[in-house]
Amino acid sequence: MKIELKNVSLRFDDKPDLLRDVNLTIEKGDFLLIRGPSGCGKTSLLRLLNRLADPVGGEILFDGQLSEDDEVTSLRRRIAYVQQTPVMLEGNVRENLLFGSLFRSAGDVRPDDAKLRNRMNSLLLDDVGLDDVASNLSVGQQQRVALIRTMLTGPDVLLCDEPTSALDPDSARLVEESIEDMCADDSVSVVMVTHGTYQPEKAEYRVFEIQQGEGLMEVAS
Amino acid sequence: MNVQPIEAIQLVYCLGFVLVAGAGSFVYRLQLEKSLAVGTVRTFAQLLLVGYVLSYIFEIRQVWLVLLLFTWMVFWAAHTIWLRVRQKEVPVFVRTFFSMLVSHLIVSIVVTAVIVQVDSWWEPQYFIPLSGMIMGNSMNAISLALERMFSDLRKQRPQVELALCLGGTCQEATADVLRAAMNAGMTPSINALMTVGLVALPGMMTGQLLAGSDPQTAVKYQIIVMLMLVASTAVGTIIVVLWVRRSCFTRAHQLILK
Repeated sequence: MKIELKNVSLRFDDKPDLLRDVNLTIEKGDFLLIRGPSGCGKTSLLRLLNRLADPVGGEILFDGQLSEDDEVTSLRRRIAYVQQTPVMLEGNVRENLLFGSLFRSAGDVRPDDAKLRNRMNSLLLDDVGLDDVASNLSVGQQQRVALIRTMLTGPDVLLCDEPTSALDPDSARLVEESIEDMCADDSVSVVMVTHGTYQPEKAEYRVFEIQQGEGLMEVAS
Repeated sequence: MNVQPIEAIQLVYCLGFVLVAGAGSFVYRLQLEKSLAVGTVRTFAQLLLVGYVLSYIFEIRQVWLVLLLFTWMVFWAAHTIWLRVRQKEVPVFVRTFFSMLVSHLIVSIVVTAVIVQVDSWWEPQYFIPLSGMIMGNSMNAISLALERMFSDLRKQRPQVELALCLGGTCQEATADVLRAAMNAGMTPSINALMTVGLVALPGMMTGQLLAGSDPQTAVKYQIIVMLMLVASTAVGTIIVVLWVRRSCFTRAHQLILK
């Protein structure tokens, strides 16, 4: 999927613009890193791409088209968003992983335990059982469960909001590598918000910096 | 029926009760004296006024007048709910008003026409007090349900947005919130079924007994009222919560409640 942001602006109530005249094109298979200080609008940018919010100015085109309101649920499955703080629902890990398959927009697709196990092992969750209570997991484990849960919707674009912020350096590197692999294997585009100096090793990537009230600026990666 | 008449001077004696409450407030510096005074004046004024209005309506017996009074009561019930639960981002009044108007009219008509079997369903002596009780109870039930829904939507925003992110509709994302809200609204009237007659005699039954009714008749009416209230609070709560829930989201299923 190709996403184009044209002169996109965002502000809340009477506050000053959080984003102003953002122009960005995300092609299929792109790997984008978004950097910037806290509160500068990085998360808001991801929410715009996922249509959890709409811009107050400009337009966002998905495959050259404006998104219709009544098609937003299927759009959100194609442009999947992993929230910064992992949200674990009541119940076990399996129920959390399969949460996205409960919705009408998911159709009849419901991954079996083998597929879930495979995904978990690839993110070093070997010692976590599918029947374990999800809220008892460490934040790092919850973050990985949240990532798998989102990937199970089979997205074209993955929006990650600091997915490794609660992980130690080794675990963080592993999750980052997994995301890079998914991007490469499944031609999934990735837009990742990050504070740090992370640089993908397995993917061609572009780096953008964002300042509050201003547009995006591509910087040398 | 043998009803002991109440003269004006007897109402004046009742002011003694207010003085007792006022003295308590004064001694313990509760600063409730002004509210007590205003409340007392309003009680006298509002009830005497409604007494005159009801006398007039009972006398001329016109269906349009009964329906006008019914609409007026719904308006104030919806207004009271709006005052209690109003939200900057979400319109509550219009949806509450129309939901209550339709659902309560249907329940009131069923009670007077089908259950009590009054000659005319709008007979003021039956329709107005019964629909008034429906209104009072539903107003509390709907307020509780909406308060619970708004509070849960704010508290559970991350869970709701998670469901939206994964392709859920706003209806799917708030199924649990909706259930909890409806539960909060309907529980008091169901609890009342459990304790009626044990803890206290209900107001309507007490009124009928004071007015000289046979206790058996008063009990039968009270049973009708209790069951009617369960139905009306359930229907009112469900319709209002469903309708207002949708207005917490945009057409693109974005949560607008901040």
